[in-house]
Amino acid sequence: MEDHLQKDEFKRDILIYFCIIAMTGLIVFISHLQLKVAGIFLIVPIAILEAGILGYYFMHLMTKKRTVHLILLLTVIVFVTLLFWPAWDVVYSPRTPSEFTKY
Amino acid sequence: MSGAHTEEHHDTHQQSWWSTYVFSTDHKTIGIQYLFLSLFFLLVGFCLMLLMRWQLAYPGQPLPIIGKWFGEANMPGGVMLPQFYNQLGAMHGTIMVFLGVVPLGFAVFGNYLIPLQIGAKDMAFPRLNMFSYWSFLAGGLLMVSSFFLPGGAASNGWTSYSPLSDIAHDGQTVWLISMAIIIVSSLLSSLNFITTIFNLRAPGMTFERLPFFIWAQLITSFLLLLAFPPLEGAAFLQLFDRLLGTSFFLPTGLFVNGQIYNASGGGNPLLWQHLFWFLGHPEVYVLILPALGIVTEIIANNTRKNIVGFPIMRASVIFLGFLSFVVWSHHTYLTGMGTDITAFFQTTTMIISIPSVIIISTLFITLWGGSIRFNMPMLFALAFLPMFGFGGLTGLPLGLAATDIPLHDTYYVIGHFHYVVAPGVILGLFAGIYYWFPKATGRKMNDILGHLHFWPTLISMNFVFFPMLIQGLMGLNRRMYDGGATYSFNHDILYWNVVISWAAWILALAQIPFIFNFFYSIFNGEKVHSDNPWGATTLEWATPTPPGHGNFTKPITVYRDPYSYSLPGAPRDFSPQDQKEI
Amino acid sequence: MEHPTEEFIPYIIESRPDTGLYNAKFGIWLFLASEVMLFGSLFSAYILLRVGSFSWPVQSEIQNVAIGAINSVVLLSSSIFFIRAWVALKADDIAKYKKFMSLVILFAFVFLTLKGVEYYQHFSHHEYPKTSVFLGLYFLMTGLHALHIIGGIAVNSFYIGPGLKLREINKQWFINRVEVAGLYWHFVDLVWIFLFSTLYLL
Repeated sequence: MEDHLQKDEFKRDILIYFCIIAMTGLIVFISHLQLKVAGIFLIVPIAILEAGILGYYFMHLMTKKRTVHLILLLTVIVFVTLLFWPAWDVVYSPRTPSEFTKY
Repeated sequence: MSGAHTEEHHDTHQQSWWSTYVFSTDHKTIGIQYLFLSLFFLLVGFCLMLLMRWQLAYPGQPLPIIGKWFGEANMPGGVMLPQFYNQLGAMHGTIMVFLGVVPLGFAVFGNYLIPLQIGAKDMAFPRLNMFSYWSFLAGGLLMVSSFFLPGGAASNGWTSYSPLSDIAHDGQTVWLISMAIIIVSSLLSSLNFITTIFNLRAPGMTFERLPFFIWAQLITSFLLLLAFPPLEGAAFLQLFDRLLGTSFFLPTGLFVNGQIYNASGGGNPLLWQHLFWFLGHPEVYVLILPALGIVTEIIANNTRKNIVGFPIMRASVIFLGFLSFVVWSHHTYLTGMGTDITAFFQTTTMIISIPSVIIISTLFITLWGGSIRFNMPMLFALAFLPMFGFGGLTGLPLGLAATDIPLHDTYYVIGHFHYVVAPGVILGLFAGIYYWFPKATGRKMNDILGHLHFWPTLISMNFVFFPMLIQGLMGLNRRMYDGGATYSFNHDILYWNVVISWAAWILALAQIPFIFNFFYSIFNGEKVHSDNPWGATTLEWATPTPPGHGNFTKPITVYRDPYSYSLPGAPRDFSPQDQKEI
Repeated sequence: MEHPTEEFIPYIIESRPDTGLYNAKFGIWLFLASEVMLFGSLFSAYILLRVGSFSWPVQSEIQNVAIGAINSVVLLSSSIFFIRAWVALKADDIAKYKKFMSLVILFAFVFLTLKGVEYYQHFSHHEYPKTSVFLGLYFLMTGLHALHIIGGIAVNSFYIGPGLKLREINKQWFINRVEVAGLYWHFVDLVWIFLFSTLYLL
């Protein structure tokens, strides 16, 4: 019984493994196409998906209770803030005029 | 001070003197170790400032006697050199914030009290706790030792802005490495505290029944956990710039000493500011929250009342913690940001004042109708409220971008943040020392010495920091080694420098009764005759005095809210949390 | 047989009902949250510097995408091996546990070796951290990641070496520790996915 469950889990893990590798191959291919901005909007979500699958299945995120989910949600929000707000400053500021600046 | 072993704990480990008092994993011993170390660093940082104040009051004049101790490189003939003044300034800030106030508020009180107040026998990770202390000691000593480098300590403000920090002398490298070590120590403490608070609460101790002190420490731990790593990342980036010649913070075309600087360029000094203040702002809430927690405990206890609106206080502190991550760029208003981003941060900064005001207001309102006892802890706690409130109010013109324009980088800013930290936080921390001293030592601190400490401290602090607000409004810039004498528009307000300096030196004298009282009372203080001399309700008072290894002598179950004072029908005016009958 | 301090500190071995976690698992998730913020600050630096730059090199021309992709497979495989090791440990099959854990460590060394090859290739083309902001970020971020791999190797080696003695004190306690080490290891793999995407493919 335990063995049977283990075999199912094993099969599922291998499936996830090949999924992630396939997605890695996909983003390498997309990168090869040199799509510039469109490329970013394709590659980054797929990478996030890869990481999400890894976290969900390999790190057993799905079995964790609410506590861990809440802490991770908080972390993600703080992380996204850190990631994009400073760049917002650089992009839209009058001191470094770019195609985005309004002045 | 970890006390005797309780008899029922049949441990086989015969603890040597070293593992009981030096390499201890007991949270109380570690808390006391942090106490002595952080008080020492607080004194060091304080002395640096006293030295600076001479130069500000009497620029260019030799400091009698003491001036000769600092050598020809720093104070030739007793006259302070600008480079040395800058070192004192940068290290005063760094040491006070990272080695003094935060460890005192967070590590000392947190380590000592968290397991006690939640009904646990120790922290979740005692050995990690010990490692946190020793790495803090290492980082702190490394930081202070930087004064002995050939070029001296870091001299670029506690904020270490690029590009100057990238090319400054070696003291800056030591600053960065010390900060990295201190950050690791702090991270490990935070995760220890959070795990302990979540997982080791005694039966019956729901989150709603946790004392506000624990809530404050919990939010502080989350702030440290998530906000410190970006500074660590920034420290790595700056170390790479300094040691490997990268240009993360060096813009293209940088001129140094009239020559173009040899680096690839392409970097951005703003990046350092964003990463630094991403920590820097949550850091100030790390400074204040433990003190708020302490003051709440003391006010509830000495008004013999439940805190009015306690659930609102809890919600406010959670909201405050969350918001503290999205206000940081009010420190960078004057860097040429666009109006949209400025408006965003201005809005969040105004909103964050709401939970702070709610918390202070609930504490004030709690006083109304209370049976107030004016003991030493309560005096400090009562002084904290208006001082912190006033300091917070002075922050409003700084949080609004338009009014920040003339005030940025002036003494107004220094007055503002010192008001909240010095007459604010530090008075709150003193309150905590006076309050929990009987539990840790079995003796009370002397009241007369306490008054000799309290009144001159409170009064002189106001004479130190209020004039700074005036000076700042008149345009006196900060970090000028001559106190602004170079600029003619400052001449009318220069006399305040003398006032402030003398007030600072009187403030220093006022600490002597405290230092004496602290050490004297450990050995000769008036003994307390009860495990609960203040008649408090929280669990730390349900232990022997001082608590032994394992803290509690019987299993703890929690039956009621933390501030169950003056309950109708109760036999006494307080009902301890672990007592079944009301 | 009880773990010596289980009486003293609860929830070392079994999970606390309301949080669903034992202490070490809670602690490691918190630690990983702080690591997200640490690497996050470097990713933030990347975004800010790239968006604010006049020109940015075509990354895939400087980088060896092939080695990077192979390294992704290597690290992912080591993650799978770790899961197999943990499953074997739970089933009390110590020989299998040691075999798979050794594979984890081996593949970690393979990763580091390939990374070393890449660094060497860069240095022989005179591509150093100070050559450009991109290269500086590349070396710092992958270097920090490599330090985390080394740390993981040390921990994993401990758990098939001297650390195995801990299993004799309490089996479940040891299983917990290996699970916690596994979470750390998967996280290192996860960071690499983002590093590879950001520094090689964008």
